[in-house]
Amino acid sequence: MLTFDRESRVIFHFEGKPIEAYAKETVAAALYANGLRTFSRSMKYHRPRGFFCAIGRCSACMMTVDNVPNVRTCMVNVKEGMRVTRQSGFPNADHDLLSVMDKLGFYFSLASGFYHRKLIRPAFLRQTYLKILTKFVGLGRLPAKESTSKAENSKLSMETDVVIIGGGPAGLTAALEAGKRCPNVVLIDDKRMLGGQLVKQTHRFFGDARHYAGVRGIRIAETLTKQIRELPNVTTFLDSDVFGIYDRHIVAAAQENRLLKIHGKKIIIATGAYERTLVFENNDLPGVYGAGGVQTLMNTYGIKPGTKALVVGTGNVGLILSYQLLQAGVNVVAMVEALPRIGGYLVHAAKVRRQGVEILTSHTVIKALGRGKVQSAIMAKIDNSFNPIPGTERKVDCDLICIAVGLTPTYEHASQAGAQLQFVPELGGFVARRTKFMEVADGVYVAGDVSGIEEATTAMLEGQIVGLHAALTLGYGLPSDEEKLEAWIKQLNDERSGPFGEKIRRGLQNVMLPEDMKIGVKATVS
Amino acid sequence: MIECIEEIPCNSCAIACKLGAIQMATVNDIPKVDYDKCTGCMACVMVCPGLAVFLLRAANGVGYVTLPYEFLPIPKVGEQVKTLSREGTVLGKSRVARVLPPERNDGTALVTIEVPEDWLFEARAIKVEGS
Repeated sequence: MLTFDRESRVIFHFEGKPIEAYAKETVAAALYANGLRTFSRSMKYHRPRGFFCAIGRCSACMMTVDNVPNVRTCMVNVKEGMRVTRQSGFPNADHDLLSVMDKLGFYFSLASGFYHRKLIRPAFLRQTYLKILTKFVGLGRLPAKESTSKAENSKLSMETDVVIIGGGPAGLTAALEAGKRCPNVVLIDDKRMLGGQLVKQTHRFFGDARHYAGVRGIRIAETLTKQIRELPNVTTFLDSDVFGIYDRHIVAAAQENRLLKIHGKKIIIATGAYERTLVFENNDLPGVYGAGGVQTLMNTYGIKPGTKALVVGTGNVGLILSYQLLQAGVNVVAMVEALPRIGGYLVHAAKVRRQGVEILTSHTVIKALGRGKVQSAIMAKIDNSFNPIPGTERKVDCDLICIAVGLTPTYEHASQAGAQLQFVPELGGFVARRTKFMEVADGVYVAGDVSGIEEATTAMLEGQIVGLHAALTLGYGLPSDEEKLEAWIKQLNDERSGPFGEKIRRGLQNVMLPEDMKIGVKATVS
Repeated sequence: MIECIEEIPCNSCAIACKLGAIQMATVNDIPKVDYDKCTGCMACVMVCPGLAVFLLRAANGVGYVTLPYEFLPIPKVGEQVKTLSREGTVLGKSRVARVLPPERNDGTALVTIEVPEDWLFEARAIKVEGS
């Protein structure tokens, strides 16, 4: 059900060797497709590292691109003639003599930050120590001369009614509702296309059929993106990283070399979530990847991630990932789940079970094994306190360990905007306290997974609610909008009223702000 | 036959059925089929996000199971495929009687296999040669 553009090819150079790639691939994807597994070496012990998240959050894939160090290669598109080199390892990352640190590290017991205490005297040697240290940890070197190939640094300042951070399901529906009413709306996303996690979801969605149930996630992304493009008053910035929300509603983003300074009367934060990871021995070996990273490889770039996979976690993400791995021709050797029951929908589990995939509850992975990459893993049964039971260890051959153990909200922007954060395990981690209309600070809203880990359908509803509320409170409502708002809030509550919504309802009880904001009030223009 | 046993918020099958043969009062309810109204049109089989709906038929001592199929390669009519149970155990081999190609249903093909009647409530998946 996916087609990949295999037409245009591009040649770039990796450590002196020419590599052929497809035009729309990221550098990391192209290198992976050409067999690269060691992307960098860890800073202290020089352990081999592969990428993990494939989405710009873990920085295991950083390399020097065209003389610029520390570029996240999973976020950069290939260009003809690009020069890419790895930054760590002596003489190179594949055969690193300094990996002896890993074997001897136990004896040295190098305490964290020892260089801050030991490598500062005598003062005249400090710069030399720094130079050696930077080379040792593999943070790359700045070019000696200023690069002449880049465009002039520029700045764009803009005033807008509503600025939306994040173009996933929540951000898109918020932009649509606000865009249908307000004269000026800005949508910012850090990827090169809109859709957020929808672009990797090849399966049909659950939920209300009047609200995209039965439709594949990728089609929903296409439909919403097309609708946004049809609204001339919505300006979209892609490849733009929002790095700060400053006083008086200034949203700052970096788009390559351009600074975007957007002042929005209302700000909607729809930044989604991070993948969590699991602690077990050798969990940093290349071949241990986050579920989202594997999905990106398969569904965005059409690259087979491996041949034998062990999937950790049987929530909906893990179950869907296992199914997608089977569709890609990967043998899923087993799924392990720490809890005594499957976490996700049983219909998702049934789809993989009937293809012969073993699902082991009350099990976990305790060790990954392999030289330089995953070659096998050890699983064990666990007891009620999640401790491995001795004697139940089982070794499985695999070249891929996919970690699907949960998501946690990307709360940083909300915190900068002045929201009150609270740690709520049922919602996935730190979330902002909010009113009934999802307002977390004056004129600042949250929508989607950032407000609590849930589903795409609830993200879309929340986006609609905040987009409409933002427009209404600016005085740009349409007739019968207040009824629409109440109807959507009721629909959201209805969807959460079943047994799968119980955890969310429990979590939400703790984060509601006591007073309601009144709707229909015009904001003062300053 | 709708093998949807949890109260998931989803009403794709009920909305897809144009004859009102699937009962679901609220979006979280478990769907119930009214077999007097069902004509076997398979609108529900085609749309279910959980791939949990199957059409079962018996004629002249032969059983037919139509299941949703989203793998490659797509089998051809007349081909012999491995038939699997819900636990993934191989029941045996079956002949493919009919195939609705994936392009006609946004990627979800429908495959009808001929099975012995006592497999009707067991056969729920297939494995095609070369997949």
